[in-house]
Amino acid sequence: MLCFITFLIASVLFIAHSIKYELSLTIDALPELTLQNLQAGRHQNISLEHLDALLDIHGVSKVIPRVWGFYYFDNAGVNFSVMGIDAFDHQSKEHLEKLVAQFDFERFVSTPSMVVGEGVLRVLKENYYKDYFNFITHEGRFEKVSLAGVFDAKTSLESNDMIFMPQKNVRTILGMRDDEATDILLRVANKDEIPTILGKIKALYPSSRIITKEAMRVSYQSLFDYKSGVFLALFLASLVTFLLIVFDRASGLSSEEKREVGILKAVGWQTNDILREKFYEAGIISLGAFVCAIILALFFVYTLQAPLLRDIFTGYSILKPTFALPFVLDTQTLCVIFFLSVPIYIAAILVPSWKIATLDADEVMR
Amino acid sequence: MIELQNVTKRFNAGAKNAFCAIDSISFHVQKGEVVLLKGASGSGKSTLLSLIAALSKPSSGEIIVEGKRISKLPDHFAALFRREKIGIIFQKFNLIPTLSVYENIIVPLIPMGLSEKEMRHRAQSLLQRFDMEDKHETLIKNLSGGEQQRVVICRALINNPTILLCDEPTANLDATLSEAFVGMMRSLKAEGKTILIATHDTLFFDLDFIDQSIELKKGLLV
Repeated sequence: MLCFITFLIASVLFIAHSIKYELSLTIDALPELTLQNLQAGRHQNISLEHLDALLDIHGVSKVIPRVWGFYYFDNAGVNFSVMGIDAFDHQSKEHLEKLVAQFDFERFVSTPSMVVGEGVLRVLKENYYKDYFNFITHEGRFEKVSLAGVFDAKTSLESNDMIFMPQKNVRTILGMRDDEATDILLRVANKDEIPTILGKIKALYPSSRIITKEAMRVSYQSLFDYKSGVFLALFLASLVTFLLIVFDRASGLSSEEKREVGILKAVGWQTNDILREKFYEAGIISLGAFVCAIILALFFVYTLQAPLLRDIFTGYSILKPTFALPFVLDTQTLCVIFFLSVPIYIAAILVPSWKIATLDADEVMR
Repeated sequence: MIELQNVTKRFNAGAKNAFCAIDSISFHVQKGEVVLLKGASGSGKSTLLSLIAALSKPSSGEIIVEGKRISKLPDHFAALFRREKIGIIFQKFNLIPTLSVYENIIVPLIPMGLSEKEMRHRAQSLLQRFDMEDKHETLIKNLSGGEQQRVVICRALINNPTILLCDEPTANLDATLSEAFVGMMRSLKAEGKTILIATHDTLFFDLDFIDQSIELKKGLLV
């Protein structure tokens, strides 16, 4: 029982840490600032005329207009995230070549083609689209886009519902003009300059909304914390069960255990001898359970990919990601699990043993 | 060797169910004597033995063993006293069922910090003496009553005590095994052990090696 509950606690913590690590990598890759155009409090497309003015702001090292949106696929009842790729964006080229097997970027940007996440591929296949997909454009026409590749499963947490295609195809499908973008990303070399740059952009475009990387981090963190709340509940349930077992142990020894303590006293064991023996006994049991639980949890989370439990984090949607939980094992997590199991269990054995061992042996054995 | 001076033991003092198990008992046992404590169930024999073994403390009076006043010994020293001087044979054997014969026998030696070799040597010689050599790895729960009692005797003798306390030693044995036990006591007396046997088994009443008989009735000497 001790081993099973420690295994549950360890599994929950491992999954949470693993996903947190994955999210931190995603957040680190985000730009320092994202500029959006607002009208009547709603997000609107932003004019590309602003690009030069933004680049002229001292401290802004790069300005990247993005063309993206959502495409609702009626047959499956799901939304795909559609992202446009600029033919001259070398950074995107490098990333795509790294994340997509046997990928030809030049061909990708010159023909109506797309790179999709695993979830999208699965939905398309289920609807008999194997090599291409007919998007219905904003104007109601068909736009046939062929499949150029699939993102590596490792990126599935982020890329699962994504479709990457050349910007001009995205504009056609989503009905966007050539002189506008969905938003603009700004890279800032010196983080200390961000407040000044923010002020300057606000002065230039009072109706705009500027999202900082920090705000994104908070947003991602909130989403993570919401889901980890479910895990926290699971974690607490396991912990409460464990503490109930411990309380049960601590509230008194069984008659057999009492008798054993009495026998030991009767044959000449002192209280400290009994406590030492009980300490070793509880230590071996709890350490053994701890080691077994950690090995089982590592196997369950990283080899079996935590069936059932991971769904709490990644959701039950049709586009459920199939990413692999990255292996993250830090001393802090191990210490938390260790201190939640081993010393508490040892204390739960020692306290009642001490209470019994200080009584007269005759009284204990009666 | 063992001297009791006006020893009284009361249980649940002040409560409604208070009772006096031993009432102002005094007697003296010489070194090497075999003393028989007779009396019906509830007469106070077992209580008297547990007082002499310092398993509990008298409510009043003095118990002196080998010149040492043990009646008010702190728990720590009482355990040391038992370890060095006393071997106990309990009525209900009081063996640890999850341990083997060998492990049960060496239990009193563990806190002494002896080497495994020394412990094994002592246990082997006792197992040999009481014809239990082939059972040394057997779990207690798999032994017969007679075998369990021999293990208890081995455990009681493993630290070579000067005093052996036997509480209703034949209560769980048949006639043949009881005779065998008497034989063992005889040989232990020959080795110079001081033995106190609390029993109401008539088998012991007319034995030639009994030096002293003390009869108890409702906590009083008869």
